[in-house]
Amino acid sequence: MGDLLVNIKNLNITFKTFAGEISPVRDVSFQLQKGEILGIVGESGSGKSITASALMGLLPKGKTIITANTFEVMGENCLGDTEEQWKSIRGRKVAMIFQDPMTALNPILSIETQIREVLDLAKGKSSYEEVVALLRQVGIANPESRAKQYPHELSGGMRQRVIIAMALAGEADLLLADEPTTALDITTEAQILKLLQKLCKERHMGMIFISHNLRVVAQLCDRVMVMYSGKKVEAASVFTIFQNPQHPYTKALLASIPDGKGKGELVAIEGQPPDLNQLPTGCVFYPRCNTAMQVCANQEPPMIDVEVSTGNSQIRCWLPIKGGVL
Amino acid sequence: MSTKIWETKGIKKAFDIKTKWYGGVKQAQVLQGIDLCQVAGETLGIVGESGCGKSTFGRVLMGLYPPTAGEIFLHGSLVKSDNDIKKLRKHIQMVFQDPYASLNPRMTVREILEEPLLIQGISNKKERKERVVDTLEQVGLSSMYGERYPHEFSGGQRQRVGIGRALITNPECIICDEPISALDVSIQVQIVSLLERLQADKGVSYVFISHDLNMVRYLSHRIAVMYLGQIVEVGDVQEIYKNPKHPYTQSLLNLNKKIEPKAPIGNILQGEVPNLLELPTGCLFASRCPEVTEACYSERPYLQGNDIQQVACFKHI
Amino acid sequence: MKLEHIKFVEDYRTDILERLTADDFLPASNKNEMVQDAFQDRPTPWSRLKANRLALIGMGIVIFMILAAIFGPMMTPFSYAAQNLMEANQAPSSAHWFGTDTLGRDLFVRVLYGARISLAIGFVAALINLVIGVTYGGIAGFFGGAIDRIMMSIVDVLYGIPLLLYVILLMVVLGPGLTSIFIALGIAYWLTMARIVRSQIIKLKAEDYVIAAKAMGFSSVRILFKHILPNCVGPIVITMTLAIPEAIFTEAFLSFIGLGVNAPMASWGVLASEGIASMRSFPFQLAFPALAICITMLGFTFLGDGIRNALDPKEEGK
Repeated sequence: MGDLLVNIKNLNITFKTFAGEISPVRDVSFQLQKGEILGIVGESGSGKSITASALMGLLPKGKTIITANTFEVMGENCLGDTEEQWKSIRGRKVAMIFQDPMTALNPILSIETQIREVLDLAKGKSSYEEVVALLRQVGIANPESRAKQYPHELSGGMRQRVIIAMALAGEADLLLADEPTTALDITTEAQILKLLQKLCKERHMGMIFISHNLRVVAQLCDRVMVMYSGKKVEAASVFTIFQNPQHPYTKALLASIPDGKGKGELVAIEGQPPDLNQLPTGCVFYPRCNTAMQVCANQEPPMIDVEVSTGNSQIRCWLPIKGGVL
Repeated sequence: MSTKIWETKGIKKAFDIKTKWYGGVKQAQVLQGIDLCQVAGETLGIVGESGCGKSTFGRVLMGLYPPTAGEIFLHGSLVKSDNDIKKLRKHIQMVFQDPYASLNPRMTVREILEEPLLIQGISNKKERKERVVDTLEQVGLSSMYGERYPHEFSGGQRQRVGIGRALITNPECIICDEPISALDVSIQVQIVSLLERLQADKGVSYVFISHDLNMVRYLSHRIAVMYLGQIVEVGDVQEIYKNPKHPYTQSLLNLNKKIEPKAPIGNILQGEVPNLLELPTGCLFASRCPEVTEACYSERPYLQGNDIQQVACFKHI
Repeated sequence: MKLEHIKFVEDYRTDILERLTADDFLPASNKNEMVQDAFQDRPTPWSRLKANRLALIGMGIVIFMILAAIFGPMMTPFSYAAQNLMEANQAPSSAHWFGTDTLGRDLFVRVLYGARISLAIGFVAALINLVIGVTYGGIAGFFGGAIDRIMMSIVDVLYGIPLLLYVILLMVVLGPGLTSIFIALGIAYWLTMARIVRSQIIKLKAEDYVIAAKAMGFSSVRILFKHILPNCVGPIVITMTLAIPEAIFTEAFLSFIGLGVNAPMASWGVLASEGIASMRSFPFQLAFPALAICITMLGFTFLGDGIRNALDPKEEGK
């Protein structure tokens, strides 16, 4: 396995719905090294959450078709794994943090009970002291009494910390965080982000951080993959993405964020993401791209590696080839 | 000095919360005494985290919740009776947060937009139709969409309908209660640009309630920062962003700087947020303030300052 | 085309690359047609219902039964009351599709007539249920507060009474007959409807669009009729559809124990009751009415479930 925690090549996910088959994830490839934080950004409909769910085998089995040239999680080929096989990975090698801390915890079990469940599953035994130690690690004050409490007695931020503690209890090497701070206040969010940053560094864990909040992704991640309507449109180091973006969508997205921009600097992207039932031919971003060319309407662009001083960027775009033609 | 559209003095709001099943009822003080006002053509931004009472204030202003104490003035006259509230709603309208819940799923867009006209007593069907078409165009939707139902639209489009509904009676002020929080990033800017344009075209004022500091800064002329039901800082938006005086404002701005890769995450406030059911007597922010002093625990500071900027903090007296 | 310096991350079809010309890289011209907001053709409840096979089967059964009840008896030569003792207890044959009963009456036509009665009872009981339940629940939900608490406490108490006993008691008091059955069923089964309507109204009162209507200054009455009630239709229709089989079954049971309609009028319950007596020797006399009851109940239940799924708000919009 080496240091590659996740190795995905040409992932396609198709759902069988009442309206036919739709593919919310098409031809997506990415990798994650140990100790690295990869951010996946995109708006609703981009397919980022579905991709993360696929990495834990959480998509409904009967209705989902997953194909890929490579689909390795923690060094093992997981394509076509059964529920049983996924169970042996979940919680122990791969842990996931979801957006809503309120529904991820069982309201009728105490914090201690729930964390001990994970410990039992991972190590075969558990103790109150271990639980307290874990709670302390995630920065919960008075862990001795908190362990005995129930989820409704904790604030949103604290519940999220408990979930992180459960992720650590299994001693997972890979953490999937799907919008973990979206439901939290900005001050609580900062605390959770600092915690995640610290833990990843201390434990040399790999983390995939999914969010639509670009500021948070910029602060936390080493590399970023940008998804649009099920496709990977750009992937590069965090510096390239935010200081020197190459794909028109990334550029447009960054231009539409009001982080202190003055009036006139904020430019909206016209139109909306396409309906998965009515995907355009050619480039999926074509209808909204302001540098679109004729070829973009007819042909799906290839994935091209562009040289950038802050770190190369992979983009799915026809623009780099324009120079080769003219 | 332009005339004020509305003004509030000392608005307090408490909700009864049952704490025990056999009858113990405590009061959650959601608003501690809000003094705010607005003139024509300006955007007043109200920011704060969830639970600070900003949405509640918006609803009290609309007359949807009766305040526990305090007064609302419309064009200088006190709003008291039901008739007064009816008059208030001719001048102030509201846009809601959730585009999926703020439109009646069984009414067409045309019917939704017509409703406010009916209450105004515009009985001429032709005139109503014209106003509807006009408004649809103003919010960037084709008039063809009038016969469609809300579920056929995307979130951003529904929010445009919501704005149209608030706009169609030409109110002086529109309260926007988190109008973009439920929308995608690329759509948020579309809606904000629309609001900007409508203000330039029609001179309507906004009360822009949001937890997104950057959007508020972009759109507002004046801004009020709320914490636990109290305004801790209020004034000209540029001045406050350049020179925040209240420690809470400072910490909020610290967490909202320009996007920078691998930037440090920012100063984190320590300490517990007080329970709304048991608010401390002193400054509400004392438990988390990095510059707290002894005096802060015994007395609560009130807004003081000049026309440009006012702060509720003992540091700035 | 000079593409040597382009680093492709994955293989790309060279035939496509070779066909490209300089013209392809001119700015796109017809983009404006595509920038229009794409209209999402979202699934409507009707289309969701159509896709649900069980629901369609249920609907088919219900429609079939209704048509059979209306037109069936006209298509057979036999009358439901005509006795022909010579032909008593005949097994099903080409002349008598369902056979005959102990008095020589054609069972097929009696089952069809039974359909009329059972379905009528089902619909009328559901209707009475609807009127009482919606009014009661509507008042409680709309006014809220003390009125709501008192009214719902009454419902809670009534819920504790085993309704079948209650209905039986009513039947004994009112005497047998169709009208009595209507009254008894109607009076007993409105509780569920009341609860559902009330909780739906309470939920709707908190919806943003209702608050928006309040903010616009509409009167409570207008809000009730324009905004709240139309959005209650879903749960009401579902509850009614599922109330029908319950009414049919209750009537069948009442007739079975002798408290139902009068002879020679035959609901399915009466037929089943007659059939029990000769169950050992002529099982078909019980089988057909019983089958009719089961299939009809299943049909309504499938349909009701299908409607409920089709109207599920979780699948709407988002």
